[in-house]
Amino acid sequence: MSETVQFERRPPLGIVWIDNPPANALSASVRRGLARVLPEAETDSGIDRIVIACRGRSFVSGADIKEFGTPSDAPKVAEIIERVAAVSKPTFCFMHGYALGGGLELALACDWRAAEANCRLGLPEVNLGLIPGAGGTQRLPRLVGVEDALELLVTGVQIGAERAEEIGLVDDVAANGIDAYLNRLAQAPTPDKRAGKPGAREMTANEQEAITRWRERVAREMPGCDAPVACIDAVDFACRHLLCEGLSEETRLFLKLHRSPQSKALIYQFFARQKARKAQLYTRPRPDWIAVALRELPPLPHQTEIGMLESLGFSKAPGSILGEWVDANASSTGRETGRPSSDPGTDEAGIVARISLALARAGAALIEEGKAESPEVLDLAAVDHHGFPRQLGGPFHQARLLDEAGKPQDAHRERQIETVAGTRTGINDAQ
Amino acid sequence: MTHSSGIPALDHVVVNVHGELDESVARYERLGFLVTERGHHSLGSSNNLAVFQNTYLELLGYLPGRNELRPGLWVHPPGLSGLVFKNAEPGKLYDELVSRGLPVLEPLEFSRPVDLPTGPEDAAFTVVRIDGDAVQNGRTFFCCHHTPELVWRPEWQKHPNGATDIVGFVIATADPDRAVSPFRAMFENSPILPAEGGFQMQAGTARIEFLTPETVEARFHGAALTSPNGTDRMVAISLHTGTPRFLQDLLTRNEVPRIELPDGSTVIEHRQAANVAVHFVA
Repeated sequence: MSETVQFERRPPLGIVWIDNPPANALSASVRRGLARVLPEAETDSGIDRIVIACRGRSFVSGADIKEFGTPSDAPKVAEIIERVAAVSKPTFCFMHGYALGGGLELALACDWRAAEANCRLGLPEVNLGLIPGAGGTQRLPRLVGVEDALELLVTGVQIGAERAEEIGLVDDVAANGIDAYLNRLAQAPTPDKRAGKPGAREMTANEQEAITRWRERVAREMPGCDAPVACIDAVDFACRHLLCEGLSEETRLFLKLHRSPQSKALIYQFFARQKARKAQLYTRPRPDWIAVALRELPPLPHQTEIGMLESLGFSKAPGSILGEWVDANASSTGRETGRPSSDPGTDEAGIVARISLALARAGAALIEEGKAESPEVLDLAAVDHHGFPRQLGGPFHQARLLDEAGKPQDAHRERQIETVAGTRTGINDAQ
Repeated sequence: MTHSSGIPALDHVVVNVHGELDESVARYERLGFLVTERGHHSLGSSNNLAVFQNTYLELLGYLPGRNELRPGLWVHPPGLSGLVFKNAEPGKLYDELVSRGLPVLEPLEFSRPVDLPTGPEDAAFTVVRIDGDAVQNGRTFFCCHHTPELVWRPEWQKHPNGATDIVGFVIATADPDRAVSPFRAMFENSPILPAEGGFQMQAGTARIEFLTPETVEARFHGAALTSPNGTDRMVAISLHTGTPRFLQDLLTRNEVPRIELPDGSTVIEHRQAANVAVHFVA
């Protein structure tokens, strides 16, 4: 088997080729390969500049999803990226196809970045309930400033090469492909290492204003989501600390999110969506499901419960589980929603469990009758069409968490879960 | 300054700051250290020192474009990464360590110009380094100063925070037994004693401690950065300071967050001091 990282001597260039089809993920073999060839390139006296580029149809498009949730082999992604940052000769990166997640973090660790015109760049970790954990949150704001860094980190949006050049993320849009780029680079005068912009300083008024504005936006548009808040915290920290302090803080924030139920729920959603796409299953609104689930719930949500659910990210839009719950009962009783305030409400975990169990029970019936494909597809529908917060994974995911934790609120609920989530849908079999 | 190789005495500690020398100097000045002018080693690295009575702290990094002269140095994570003992006879020490089977590199001589009011002079050193991974995430070596008068200068020993000497150095390790073993071999006639959560060894003014991450966590109330991946890390230094009130006033003036420990000492979190927990004791 050929190596996933190859070193090509083309003095004065040393080219580090990553060749790990299909997507050039930063798998263990690539990380070991980089650790092997970088010292070779550093000590070769005929080489005064090092280029990192990829074979195949894309640059590194992220971490290896096969390694999700398992402890990865050394060197870890963050370790190998710091090794790249510490390379003693000027480093260049050529990106084509996609440069996402760990791929873009690898590029950020180089001194100079070039991208093909149709290259897409982004840090989508937030979509998995995470922040970039290999320097992205610290190097990006130093390179492009707070505002553009927050845009990329908090929304997880992908941008094109031209936009990336505009904000300073790439130095060079290479219109004529890698060969032309390498030829041009080989003929350029000896380049310098580049000094990064410092953190550990007073933030400017503009930066402070951007941080405040993004905090307000996240509270408004992404209630209950931890990862976007952590992105802002990390950028805020980056402005006021040394890079080395920031990298430690980023690791701390990353590990905290990595262990969190939100990230597990979002990774579950990610895989459920992949599986559904492969099977060509598309989610659609299921008013029939919501109607049955509502029968499982008490007649009216308590006013404090409505507030709690909204702060957890439940939408109250028409057709959503919460919207319909509030609405159906308001219209049927003809009075304002909300039980009297003397009625004891329940805690967040309790109310989420109650809604999830109602939906899981109703959904299980649909599955049994052959009217729905699987718990995963219904979880996707709940998120896509019925205002269930994405970061909670979906009602079946929540019901299963209760089961896995072994700490349901009472024995009655335990029996309910067994019946609803286990026997009738086979969720337990899938564990 | 004659120290036989058998009796450990702390010479200096190294804080590796990679490419952030200027920023790190500002960080340590904010903590009340008097930091010397930038020095440039003949080996390619650059440094600034905080010099005490018997020891010093070295902020070691590189300037853009100069790190290729000494690439191996940047493999260690930024933060406390060097524990350096005094030595007067590098040749003899080298022979001794070799005869004891330690992985030791040949003595290395280098120098660094120092600007004095009377003109530039060269501070000269010989170091004897332990090779390999015996000490994780850092380097341990012996330093022989041929020109101590160019390092320990009285005008550099007066710190606004009142620090007089480094009196403690902490290595966090999940396996204190393994972590102390190279030190037992280096200092075979010197006692390394069991302590709560690990081991300790007196080295001149300083107590070197090898403690479990949990012990470190408890002692410094989370101010020290223990390794996220379970490897050993050099995490904290303790400094003796004169008048605690001066220190408190200075830290308040400079808006430095700090933690007051139950024993009355003060610790600065790693996130304020280039990944090092800086602990001040009266």
